Amino acid sequence: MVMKTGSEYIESLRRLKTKVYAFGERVTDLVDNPLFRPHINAAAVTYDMAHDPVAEDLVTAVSHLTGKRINRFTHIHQSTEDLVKKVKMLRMIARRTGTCFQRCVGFDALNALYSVTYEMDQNLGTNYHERFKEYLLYVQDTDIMVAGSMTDPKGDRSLRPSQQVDPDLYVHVVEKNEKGIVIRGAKAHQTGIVNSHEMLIMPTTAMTAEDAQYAVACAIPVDAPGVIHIFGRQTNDSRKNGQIDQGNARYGIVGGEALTVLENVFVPWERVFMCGEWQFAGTLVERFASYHRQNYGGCKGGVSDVIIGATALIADYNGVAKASHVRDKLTEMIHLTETLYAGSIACSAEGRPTPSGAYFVDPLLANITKLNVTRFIYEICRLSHDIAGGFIATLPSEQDLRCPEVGPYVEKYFRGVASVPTEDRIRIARLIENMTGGTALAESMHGAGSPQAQRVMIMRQGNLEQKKKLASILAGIPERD
Amino acid sequence: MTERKLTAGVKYCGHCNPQEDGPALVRKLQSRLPELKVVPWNDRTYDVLLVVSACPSDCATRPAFNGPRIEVAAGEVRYWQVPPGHPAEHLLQTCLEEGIKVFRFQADRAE
Ligand SMILES: Cc1cc2nc3c(=O)[nH]c(=O)nc-3n(C[C@H](O)[C@H](O)[C@H](O)COP(=O)(O)OP(=O)(O)OC[C@H]3O[C@@H](n4cnc5c(N)ncnc54)[C@H](O)[C@@H]3O)c2cc1C
Repeated sequence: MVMKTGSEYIESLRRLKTKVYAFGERVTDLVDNPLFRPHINAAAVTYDMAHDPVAEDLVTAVSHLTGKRINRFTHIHQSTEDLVKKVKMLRMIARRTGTCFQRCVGFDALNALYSVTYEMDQNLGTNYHERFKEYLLYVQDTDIMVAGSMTDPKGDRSLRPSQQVDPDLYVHVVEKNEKGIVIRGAKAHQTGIVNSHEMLIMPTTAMTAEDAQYAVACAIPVDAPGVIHIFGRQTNDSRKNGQIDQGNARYGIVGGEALTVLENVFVPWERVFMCGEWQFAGTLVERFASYHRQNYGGCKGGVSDVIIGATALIADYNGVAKASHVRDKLTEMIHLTETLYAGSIACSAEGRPTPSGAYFVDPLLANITKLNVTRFIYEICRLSHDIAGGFIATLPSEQDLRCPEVGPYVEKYFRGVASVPTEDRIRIARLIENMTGGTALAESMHGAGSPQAQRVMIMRQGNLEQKKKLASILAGIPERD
Repeated sequence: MTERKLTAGVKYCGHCNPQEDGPALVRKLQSRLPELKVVPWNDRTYDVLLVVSACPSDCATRPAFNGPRIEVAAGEVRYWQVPPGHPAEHLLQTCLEEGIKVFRFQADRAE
């Protein structure tokens, strides 16, 4: 049983043979390549914090399977306290990284599959749960990073998986034999997958009997034969060689996503956790989505703490910190941030046990939280842009700042208050630019599902009939059959 | 005769959104009580367990420990427990008498 440190995690990646492409080329130096390293550094924090005496109370837990201390990212929630600690952990880490540290997706996939495999077995007489527990033991024992792989490319969104012109637009089973299954297709937007050890594949939507070959959940190494990752571009990825212009050079922005192609990948039966049980695809999607939506008031709360700090600093540097509208806008940013956090804490505190014993969040409150994220983060970023000023969009480059000919002009004309070095002002401006625009914003919209996905769940859980009844009683309308 | 040092095992809450810097508080305590030795809570060889939460929600997990325990949340000493007849009782009392001023949030702020 190990709890890896950050550097042990990073070294373990060197042993993988992950097939990654970026900018039309096969990547051979993933761990040291500046395109990937910031994301790797961010994920490494989830490992280091387990060994930090100040943070370990949040980042470690006691395994219900072995009684041993493990990294919380491999833990199955055993209480509402566990759910609350998860949110606090995410906020704490996000405050350090200022960006996505990727490991929550696999964490949520583990928890969703743990309870759903149990329910599947109870209802259908399958034997997935024991198999899944074996896998969980392996994950806890080796402290590996697991990517959560749900989203399929989906092609024509109006068609079901089995109706698509190209059958590979959803991951599906193409062969079954006595040793295992062969799967084919792709998973899109895969956070942290190029620096994970394994991927935990789940269906992306509820299914019908016709879609049975698409109802597949399983675990594979990210470097298994037939797995190819095509890394996604980010808004600042041509800035990777300097220190200032990326804004957050150490940890990057967002998680580093990839399109992962599964070209006839073999999965042994020990790692198959759903194969044709289409009736449970929807349950699995909802369970995973609710756990994942729980997170956003934690991690985005922490990221927003950094944005608020950066915005307050730029106000200081610009000499406007005492202006009443600036203070009011900062207050609003704090209000929005803590509202997000409150939602995450609430859906955790209102959690409940599933038949497997694992705890699940309140799905209504979790969906409310994520829907708020699709709006509030945009508003927080808008207020930050407002206070920071237009130079976050027009600043010359780091090379210009260092250039003997024009550097002195950059120094002179980008200075705010006289007491603050121009470079400090530029650094904070770049941090704001990178944390509040482009890739970072879209993550708040679509990560863990687009807003409509939350609205559907909210309407389903919102108990409208009971609300109608309340109104009828007060209005004196008699009950009718 | 050299007196054995009082050893405190420290458990922090995790500091997700701290209102007080727990490690800084412990460092201050150490500078005021040089005879105090501080170890992580999982060392399991200490006289007193010091639980330090960085905000009033005071969510630090309480490790099982059969000795005296002091709990601090956001710089305030909330309460302390000393099992009767515990050998560290006297030392703990001294620590508290001296140290409570150090813990006190307001007193620290005033400095
Ligand atoms: C930064 C980032 C990280 C991510 N990380 C992961 C990850 O680690 N793992 C993972 O599995 N996924 C991940 N995702 C994927 C995420 O869950 C999806 O982006 C999200 O579910 C939306 O799917 P989509 O991007 O295909 O958009 P679409 O589904 O195309 O949605 C676009 C719009 O079309 C609407 N729409 C879609 N289908 C229909 C329909 N049938 N009828 C009516 N309207 C429809 C949607 O409501 C939305 O308004 C990530 C996404 C981002 C942006």
